[in-house]
Amino acid sequence: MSLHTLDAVDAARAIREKVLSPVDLVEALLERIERIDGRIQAWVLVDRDGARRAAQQAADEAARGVFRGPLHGVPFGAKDIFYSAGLRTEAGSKTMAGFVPDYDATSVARLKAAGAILLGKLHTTEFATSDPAPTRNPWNLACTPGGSSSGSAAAVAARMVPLALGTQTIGSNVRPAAYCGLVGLKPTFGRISTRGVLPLSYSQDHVGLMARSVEDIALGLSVMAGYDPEDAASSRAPVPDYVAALTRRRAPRIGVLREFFERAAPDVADLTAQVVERLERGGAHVEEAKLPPTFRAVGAAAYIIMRSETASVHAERFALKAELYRPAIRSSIEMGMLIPGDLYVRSLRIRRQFCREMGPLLERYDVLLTPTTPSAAPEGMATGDASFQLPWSISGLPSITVPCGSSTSGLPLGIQLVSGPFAEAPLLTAAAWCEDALGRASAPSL
Amino acid sequence: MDREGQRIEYVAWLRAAAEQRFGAARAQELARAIEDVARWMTEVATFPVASDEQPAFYGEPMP
Repeated sequence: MSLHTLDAVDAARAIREKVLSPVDLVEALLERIERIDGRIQAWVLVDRDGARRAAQQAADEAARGVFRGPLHGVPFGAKDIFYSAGLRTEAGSKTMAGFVPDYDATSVARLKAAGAILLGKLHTTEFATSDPAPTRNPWNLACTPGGSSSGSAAAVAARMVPLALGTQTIGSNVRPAAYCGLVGLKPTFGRISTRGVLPLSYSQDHVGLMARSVEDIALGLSVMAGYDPEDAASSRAPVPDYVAALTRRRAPRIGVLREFFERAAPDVADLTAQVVERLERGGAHVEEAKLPPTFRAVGAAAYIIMRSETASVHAERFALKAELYRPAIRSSIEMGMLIPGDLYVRSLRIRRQFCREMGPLLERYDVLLTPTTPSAAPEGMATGDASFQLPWSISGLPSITVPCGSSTSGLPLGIQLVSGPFAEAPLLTAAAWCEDALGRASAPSL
Repeated sequence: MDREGQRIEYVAWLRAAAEQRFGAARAQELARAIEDVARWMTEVATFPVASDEQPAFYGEPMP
C-alpha cells in the first residue's frame, strides 16, 4: 500500500506499532503534494521544514516509546482561517497579506498536543464566504470542490493528507466534503472551540472535520472537543468517548426528510431514495419525518444573522481596506451594515423557535436523513448550493455527510445525517453503521 | 401591508440607505444584493414568531 493512501486511524496504529515512521509518512505526503497539487491547488502554504522537523521529533519519541496522544505522527491540514503560530494565515484575502499569528487556534493546538503534525494551510474562499479559491475538485478538475473549505476537501480526497480542518457558517464543511466523496462533520455549536479561527458570523461559526472514514472523524473530534475558556461560545457539555461509541454500532432509527428530496436534482433524489431502501433492508427503522413550520423562515433568518455579524466582524478592517475586499465579501459586509437591528434580533428569535420545534423530532429518531446536496459538484468556480446545510448551521445541530454513491456524471454524492444537540456519539455511530452498509468511497483517479 | 408591499418598501429603504452610506454609484452596484436582503428581511418580518419567544444568541443556552 502507498503511504499516502493511509487513513488517520491506520497511520496512527502503524506508528504506534512501530511499523511506520512519521518521517516516511510525511515524506510520502510531501511527494504526493509535489506531484499533483499543481493541478488541484489545495494548498496555499506547505510547511515542509516544519513538518519534517515535527516528523523527526515524533519518530524519535516513538523510538523511545513516547507517544503524545492518539494522533502521534499523523499529518493534518488546516483551512487558512485557522491561526497557526509562525505560519502565514491570510484567509484568501489581500487584506490579510503577510499576517503571521503568534499562537495556534485551539483546535490546531489540541491536534498538535495529540501528536498530529501540521502539514500546511489549505485554500479557502475569501474569509470563508463565496469569492472562490483556486482549488479544483479531484474527481473532475472542471468542477468546484465546494467551499468555503475548498482546499480541505480537495486535499483529503486527493490523498495529500488524511485529515483536515474546515469551518461551517452556512454550509462550508459538510458540502465540500460531500462534493469530494468524503466524510465531513459539523459538530454542535460550541463543541469545538473557535478561538483562533477568523470569524465570519459569531453565532453560526463551527469548526469542522473532513476525513475518509467515520472512525477518523471520531478520533479527530475526540481530540478537539471540549470546553475552552478562551472561547465565549464554548460549551461545558461533557465529552464522551467518540471512538468507543463506534464499537456499539446498531441499526439506527432514521427520520427521512422528504422535503429535501423534492428540492434535489432527479439523480440525487433517486440515488438517495435507493440508499434509504438499502439502509432499511439492512435493518434500519425508517420513517418519514416532517419538518416544523419555522423551517420555512430559517434560510432568511440565517442570512440576516450572518450578514449582520459579518459586518460587525469586519467593521474596523473594512473602514481601512474596503477596496482590497473581493466582490462577494465586500457586498456582504456593506449589506450587513444596513440591516436594522430589530430584524437581526427577530432572526435570533426565529432561530430559537426553530430549535424548540425541532426538539420532539430529534427525540423520536437517532438521526434525520437528507441528501447532502441538491446536486453533485457544479462545474466552474462558484462553490455550490449550501441550502441543505443551512438549517443545521443556524440551529447549531450536529450533522455529518457519508458518501453514498455517484451522480449520473460520475461525481460523488452523500447522505447527510443530523442529530440532537451534543449527540455526536450516536450521530457518529449511526454514520458508521451507514458507512458499513454502503461501503467506503473510492479514490479519484489522478 | 402585504408581503410584496413590504418587500418593495424594504428595497426602497435599503437603496436609499446604501446611497447615503456608500454613494449612488456603489448603491447601483449593490442592486442585486439589495434585492436579496430585502427578500430575507420580508421573510423575517412577516414570519409569525411567538410573542414570548426570546432570541437565541447561540445555538444552545449558554452554561
